[in-house]
Amino acid sequence: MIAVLLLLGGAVALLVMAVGAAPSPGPLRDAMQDKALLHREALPADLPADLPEAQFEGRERLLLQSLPSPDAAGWQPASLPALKQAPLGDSVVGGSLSVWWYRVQVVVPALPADGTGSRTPMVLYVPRVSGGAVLLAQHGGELGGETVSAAPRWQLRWDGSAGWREQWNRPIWVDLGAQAPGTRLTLALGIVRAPERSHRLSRLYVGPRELLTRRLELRLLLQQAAPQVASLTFLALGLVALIYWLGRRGNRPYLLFALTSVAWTLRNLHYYVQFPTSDTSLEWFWWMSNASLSWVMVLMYMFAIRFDRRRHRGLERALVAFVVIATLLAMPGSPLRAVSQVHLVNAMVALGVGLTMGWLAWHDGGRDFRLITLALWVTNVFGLHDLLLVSGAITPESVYLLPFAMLLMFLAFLHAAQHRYSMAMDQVAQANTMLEQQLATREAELRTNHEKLRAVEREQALLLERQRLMRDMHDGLGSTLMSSLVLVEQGRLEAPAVALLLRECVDDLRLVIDSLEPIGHDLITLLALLRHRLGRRLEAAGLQLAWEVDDLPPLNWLYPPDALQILRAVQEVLTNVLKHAGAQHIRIATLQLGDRVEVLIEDDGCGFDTEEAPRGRGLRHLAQRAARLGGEVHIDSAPGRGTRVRLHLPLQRDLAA
Amino acid sequence: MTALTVVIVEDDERFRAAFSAMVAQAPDMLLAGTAADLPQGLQLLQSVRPDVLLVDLGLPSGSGIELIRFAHDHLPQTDVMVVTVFGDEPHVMASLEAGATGYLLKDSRAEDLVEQIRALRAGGSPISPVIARQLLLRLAPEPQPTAADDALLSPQERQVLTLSAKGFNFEEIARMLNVSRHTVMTYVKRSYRKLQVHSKTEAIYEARKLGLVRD
Repeated sequence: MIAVLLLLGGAVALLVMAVGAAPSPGPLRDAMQDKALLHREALPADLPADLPEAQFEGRERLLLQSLPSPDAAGWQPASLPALKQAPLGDSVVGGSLSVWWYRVQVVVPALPADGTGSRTPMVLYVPRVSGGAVLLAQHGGELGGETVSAAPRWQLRWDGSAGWREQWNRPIWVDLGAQAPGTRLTLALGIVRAPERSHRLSRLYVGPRELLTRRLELRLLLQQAAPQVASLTFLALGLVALIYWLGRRGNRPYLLFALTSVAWTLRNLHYYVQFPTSDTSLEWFWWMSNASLSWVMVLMYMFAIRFDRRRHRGLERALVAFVVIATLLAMPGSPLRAVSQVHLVNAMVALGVGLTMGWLAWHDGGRDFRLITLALWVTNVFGLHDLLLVSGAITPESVYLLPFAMLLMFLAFLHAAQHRYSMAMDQVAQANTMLEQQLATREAELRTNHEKLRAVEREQALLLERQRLMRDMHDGLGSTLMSSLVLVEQGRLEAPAVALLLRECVDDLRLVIDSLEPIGHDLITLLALLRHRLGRRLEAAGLQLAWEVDDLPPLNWLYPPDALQILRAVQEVLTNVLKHAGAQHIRIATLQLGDRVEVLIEDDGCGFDTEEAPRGRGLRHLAQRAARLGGEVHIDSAPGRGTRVRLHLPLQRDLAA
Repeated sequence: MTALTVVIVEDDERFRAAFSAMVAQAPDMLLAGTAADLPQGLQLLQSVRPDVLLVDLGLPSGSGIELIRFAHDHLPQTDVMVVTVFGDEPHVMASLEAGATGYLLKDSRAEDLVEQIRALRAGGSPISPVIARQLLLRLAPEPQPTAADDALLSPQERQVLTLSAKGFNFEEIARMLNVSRHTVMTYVKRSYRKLQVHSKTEAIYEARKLGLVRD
């Protein structure tokens, strides 16, 4: 990027120098006039105050009266370009204005296209004359198509007084009409100015129009069009930046950029606008133009410094204070108002800013900052060139470079901004990656914790289940075996009784195992298991079983502990039937009653009287078991009328218990 | 009618003696050999190809399952019956998957044992409600596939298993489906075979997924 910048700067400089350089031999060279004869004279003192542009009777005569005829004395040789012409000597009689006449003589060439003698349209082209109003006088020759018959005399060919304020940056273009090849043209260019001032005159070009048109156009482009376009572009971008800043007040650089664009546009106005006519407004205009240059420098510095990591508050404030004071002091009406001092101030500011930034860039400056500093130095070089041009130290044919300097600065800023932007995007991407990584780590952590927790829960559940199982076996099997053991050892049990006890133990163990089988909350499957176990025994006892179960919805609380209780309960009922009822038919049915289910065990046995004290512990146990399950048992029996046992269980139970 | 040859592999001496006696008493069965553990059993099966193999699931170090698998792979004509103490679901399912087509409770009475062997040889298998339920879960999970031939179980097989899971015995199921008891038992046996195939397919599928088996 640095290479690009330097290349562009060099290209601009070269272009400008080419414009200001002496042309190579050829028709252009022939048109160029670098030798002239000079006559200078003061105008009479009693002149209208607003000369040269004032229009009055005899104005032309007055202006031309100081012009001697070509063959008279009073002409001195002078070479062009004329830089920094010293004021008149003491031969001056206290006049308010003086005129400097530069006289040249040109032979009209023939057009190369046809050398048959058709007329050549001639023009006078003066790249730059600054310091005073311009007049063009012609001696003899044709004027406006008329052939002057009388003795040749000086006549005012062209009057540029009206535009003398803008003269310093406008090339002079005077149409001299179509002249016959070979005619001798005698022209005198007059510069009307105050004696204490100085003027600068570039070389004169008198030649065919086609030859000089291109040079004029190029010059106009570089001198006027370019600054105008650049300023407006920059101003448009500044407007965009301002709108950004309005949306986000914290973003100072945008505001600085907008202010810079405004200051720069104000600065560039003087290259191409029509100047105000009154002296006061003119003074104010020039004040604004010069002050704005310092402001541009300071604002650019403040903008550029934001690309550097370090903070330089003190320096910023000092610079701003300096420029504010200088601007105030340079206002019209203030004592310190010499033009050179304004330029001096500008130069000091430029130098100060440039040196500071250069130092910062040298010591630990980032690449972007260095780039901007380089662009600033190129700007300073251009500024120096312009200063020399204004003061006449270099040929007036050169072009003011500062408008182009802004282009380079702008490119540098764009590059820095784009670099910042991509860095920011990279940072965002990096931050995102880091976040993702962190998230992944956290997720992994969470997962491991979750697994650990689940493992602990599983262990806990298993432990509880084991304890429960042991309890159940202890209660059922354990006590039966223990009591049987005691009885056998005491010799109070016979083999068949022992076999019966052992079978009871096996049965109970079977029940426990069955309660652990996967029935999936299905009461029907549980009951089916029991039937599968006991079916044969019932058959063997001569009972006919009617299995009338129907589908039931799942019981959300039906886990092994409670399943075992249900099995034991139903088994007790069946055992009662087997032992006491003497029945022939037994019916097992299920039913859903709203939010409860009913298990019905009905037999056609002998029945019993429910009013009397319940037989044995079986029925009390049954009621207890049903209560523990969250349900109840209803026994409906009468002697000789069989028995109906109804076990009611809830469909849903609160599992928190 | 030729007698059914039966091989018993049982490590408990008393049970072995009891089973042998039961088989010997049956007129249509012939005891072709007994073994007390896996190596003996394998050796025995090299030379003998019985019609029915009775395996105690409680053989030391889980070798009962191994023997079942061996028989299933090498003796396709042999019906494998597993003897289990409690007939609980994990044990029975494992045996069925390994290739057994019937199971018995260890404390069954003699007539039951002989009857079951005959029924098994005739093509039927016993079942318990929980086993039926498990089979349904494994082979006919909800929701059912729309096309009838996508289902692993035929409608009749599914019906038999469903009714069995509800607690109906074979007679009742036969009456409800209007078939013979024997036919009901053959449906059960077919379901067991499908379970074997299905669990084998599942195993291969899982192995493939884990990259243990290449296509």
